[in-house]
Amino acid sequence: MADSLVATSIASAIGGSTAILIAATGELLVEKVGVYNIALEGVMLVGGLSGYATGQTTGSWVLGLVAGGIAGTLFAMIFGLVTVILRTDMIVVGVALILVAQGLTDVVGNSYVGAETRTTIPNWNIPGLSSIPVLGPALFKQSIVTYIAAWLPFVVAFFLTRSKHGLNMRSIGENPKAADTAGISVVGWRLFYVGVGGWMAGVGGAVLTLGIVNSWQNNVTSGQGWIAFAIVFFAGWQPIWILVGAYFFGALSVLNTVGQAEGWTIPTEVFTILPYVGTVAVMVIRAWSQKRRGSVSWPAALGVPFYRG
Amino acid sequence: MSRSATAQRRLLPWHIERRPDPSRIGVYRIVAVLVGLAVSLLSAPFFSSVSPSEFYKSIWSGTFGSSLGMGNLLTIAIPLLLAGLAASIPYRLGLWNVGIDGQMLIGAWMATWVGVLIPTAPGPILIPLMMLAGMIGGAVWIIIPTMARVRLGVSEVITTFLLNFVALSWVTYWCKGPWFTPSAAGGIRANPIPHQSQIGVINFHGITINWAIFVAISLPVVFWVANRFTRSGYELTMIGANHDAGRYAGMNVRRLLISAMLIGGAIAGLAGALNMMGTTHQLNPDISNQAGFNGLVIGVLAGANELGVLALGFIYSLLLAGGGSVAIIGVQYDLVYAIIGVTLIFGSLGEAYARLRLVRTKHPTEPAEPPDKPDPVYAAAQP
Repeated sequence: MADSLVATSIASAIGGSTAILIAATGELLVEKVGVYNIALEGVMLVGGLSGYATGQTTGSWVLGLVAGGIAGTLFAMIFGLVTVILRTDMIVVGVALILVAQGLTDVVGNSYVGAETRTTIPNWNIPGLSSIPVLGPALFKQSIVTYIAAWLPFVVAFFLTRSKHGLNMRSIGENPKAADTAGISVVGWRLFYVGVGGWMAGVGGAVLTLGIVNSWQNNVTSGQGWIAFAIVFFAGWQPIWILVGAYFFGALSVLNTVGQAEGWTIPTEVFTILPYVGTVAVMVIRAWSQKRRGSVSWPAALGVPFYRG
Repeated sequence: MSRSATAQRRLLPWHIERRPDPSRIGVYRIVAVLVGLAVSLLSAPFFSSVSPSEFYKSIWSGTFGSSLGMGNLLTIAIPLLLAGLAASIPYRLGLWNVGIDGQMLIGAWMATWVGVLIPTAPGPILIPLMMLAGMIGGAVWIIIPTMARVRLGVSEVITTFLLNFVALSWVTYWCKGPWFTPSAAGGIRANPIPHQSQIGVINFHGITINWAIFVAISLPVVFWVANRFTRSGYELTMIGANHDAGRYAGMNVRRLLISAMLIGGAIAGLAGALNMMGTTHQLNPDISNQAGFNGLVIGVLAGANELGVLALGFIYSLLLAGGGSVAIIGVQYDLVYAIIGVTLIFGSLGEAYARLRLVRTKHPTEPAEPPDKPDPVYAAAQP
């Protein structure tokens, strides 16, 4: 019995959002300590190529994901060293690194374009649960990576709010001078979390090439890294909203595909702009309501390089 | 040994701190950019499949080495210089205009719309009107992010950036739908603009270039002069990113912020309109071709200095033109992005070098306060 269109649409929305979800969660951590890793798109590209190449060479998607993470971490550390330690401008260096990533992955990845994919991330249908009508195929026929990614924001939320280290992290992002006086190493932890964010974005990129698109082509991420970056803003730096944002944007893109296939009269561009218009609208509304209440949602020291003394 | 909160805690024997008096930042930047250019251009051929001599020969012939190349370089420079200006004016006040691509698209769209409304108007009327429409379009596109930033504190980085995609979809829709024109080259294009509104070319020693280049070169100079020699330019420079200082000095910071952003948007819109009127002669979604993004980088790296925008803009155009010509001999075009990226990173490093310095720390385990000298009276009183 074939799964219904609704079920498969929901399933592909969830599965297709996984890469963005992982990358956005990583970027949330990076921004909580006060760094804009605007090179997210580049990190995902690097991770995606490394993951795919490793998958082709070794035949193991697990190794591919690990390789994507390592490559992402290394690439993000370049960003970290140049911006956190040398206090250069985060946006210029981030944009520069995206350009470098695009250039290098195009050249290095050229031999992988159009190759026959050797291994992809398999789906794991949860026995029993996946037989529930409609909801079953929609929710429980994903890959293990998707299942883990769905829990990630909750884990991060718990960690940020309930652990001592999470409190330290947030203080670095809000008031680095106070954190420094309390003995927390601002530069050290900022660098560390840039690396963590790089790992997660790299894994996200590998999930994209090994699990979603299942191939490599030039600029395979085509803006997904930017959407992940936007989701952090959309979410107001709250982990649960990252989940909402990622799945919502994924759903929009699936709706777009379904709409085109079914011949709806709404122009496809309406669906394309909804994530962006939505993010701007959400940010404006949130800022407006916070202004009335007198609070802000972003880490106060976001984007400000830290100097001691 | 106890660690008081005031004890310096450093892992390494040296640390980085700000120079008390950063000077000649511009010099360091330019030198760093040139070094980065050299490094990346020297190593680039090894990432490609052609020999270094072929690589450099094609770059030369695609740019300075031929009049066709020079024309190409200047054509690329037009939107790039204007985009750099569109980024640097808001950046003088510490604001980021990341939406230049979108503003260019909307500017080009508005200009096209004027052409659709009054296709028979004479050239001398139509051209300035379309340029004006471009400026209005760009300014309109930047209003929402500007007001959100000025009144609500919403980061203009993300709002201007996201509107790029909205602009792209808007223009794509019009080019695919109401204004669609099938063309031999394929692709999504609108009807060509009225013939009399297409910008004419001039011929200079064999180099053909449309006259928008004069706009592109003179506007940065005009703004540089205005900023240096007028009172409001002085105010702008003095506030810089320190808006509180401006408020205490009684300046209307909010109005300055809004004007800077609107001017930036208008220039971006003008860039889009001119680019369309001068090169493609018809609207298409590629009209900006990432010039906005590149322009942002140029504007920021030039430190909001309009003359720096001119210099850096030309270097950038050189790279992009060179990239196009090596693509013909089989090198991936994206390699030029890697070259640009490396050059930018070096430029940033140079700027950092001008601002920071490496200083030896005192020994990390040295206690903050000197050890107490034993009190002679007390010691003598001990049994």
